[in-house]
Amino acid sequence: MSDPTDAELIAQVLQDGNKDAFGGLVFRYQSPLRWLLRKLTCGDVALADDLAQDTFVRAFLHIKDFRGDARFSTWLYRIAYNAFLGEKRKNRKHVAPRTVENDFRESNPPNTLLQMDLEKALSSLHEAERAALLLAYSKDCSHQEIARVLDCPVGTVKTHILRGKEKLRSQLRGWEGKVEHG
Amino acid sequence: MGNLPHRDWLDELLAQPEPEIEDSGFSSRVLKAIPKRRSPFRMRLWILLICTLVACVISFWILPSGEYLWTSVSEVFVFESWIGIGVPVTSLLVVVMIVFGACAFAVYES
Repeated sequence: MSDPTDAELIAQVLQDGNKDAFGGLVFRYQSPLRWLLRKLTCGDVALADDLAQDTFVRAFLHIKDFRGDARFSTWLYRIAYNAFLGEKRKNRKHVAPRTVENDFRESNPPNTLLQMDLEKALSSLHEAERAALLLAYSKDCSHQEIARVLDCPVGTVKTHILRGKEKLRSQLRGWEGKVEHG
Repeated sequence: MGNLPHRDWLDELLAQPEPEIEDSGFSSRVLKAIPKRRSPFRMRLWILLICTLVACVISFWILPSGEYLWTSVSEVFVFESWIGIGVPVTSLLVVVMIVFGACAFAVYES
């Protein structure tokens, strides 16, 4: 027996506020949503999980607003991104990129250091650029879907992705040859 | 990502699969955080209407006569003395409290 689809679970939630059905949706999307928020918050796990919980609660309360013309995940990401922006405006936190000590660099494999440098470079981007790149590459969202999440025109999404990549390329220049040759 | 024609080393780096995050009770915490649903709007409307009707019945039929309420209102506004004002004010307060009580009950989250 196959798992129920998102549409079936949403229909059950809409019908009688079925929390078990919504729990199925939460379980299905908690990992990708929390991962996205951890990247947006530059590795602040506690904040990311708080925002993820807030996102799911808002999604339950406003499930009637989901029109079904986009993927449920896209709708969730939009709520999550707005929650992230709201938190940023409220706290006006600037999360400084993590620094890596020299001895840590020497004792860890290149893959780990590359990932750390990538995270450091991502955290230096504007949040819209960071979000656009994460949604485009890790979530395999189309430009239209990203535009819906970020609430901006498709052209702006393309600009965010291009500028974001230029900045990453500039910051990760030292890895270029090493990554290509494995 | 299917939007770019050519993938270079940075595209491959960005497209690396994300690790799975264990649920570890996260879903349960989310479900506990969801507030209880408010009573449906239709029920609240019925409660409000019924209580308003009860207030009207008390005002116009149970009290000595329908004119009593209007007499009370006029006595409050005429205000001849503090002694005579107690009963009409009290009767008006009863009606107001019933209506406010109905409103409060209607919006009370069960």
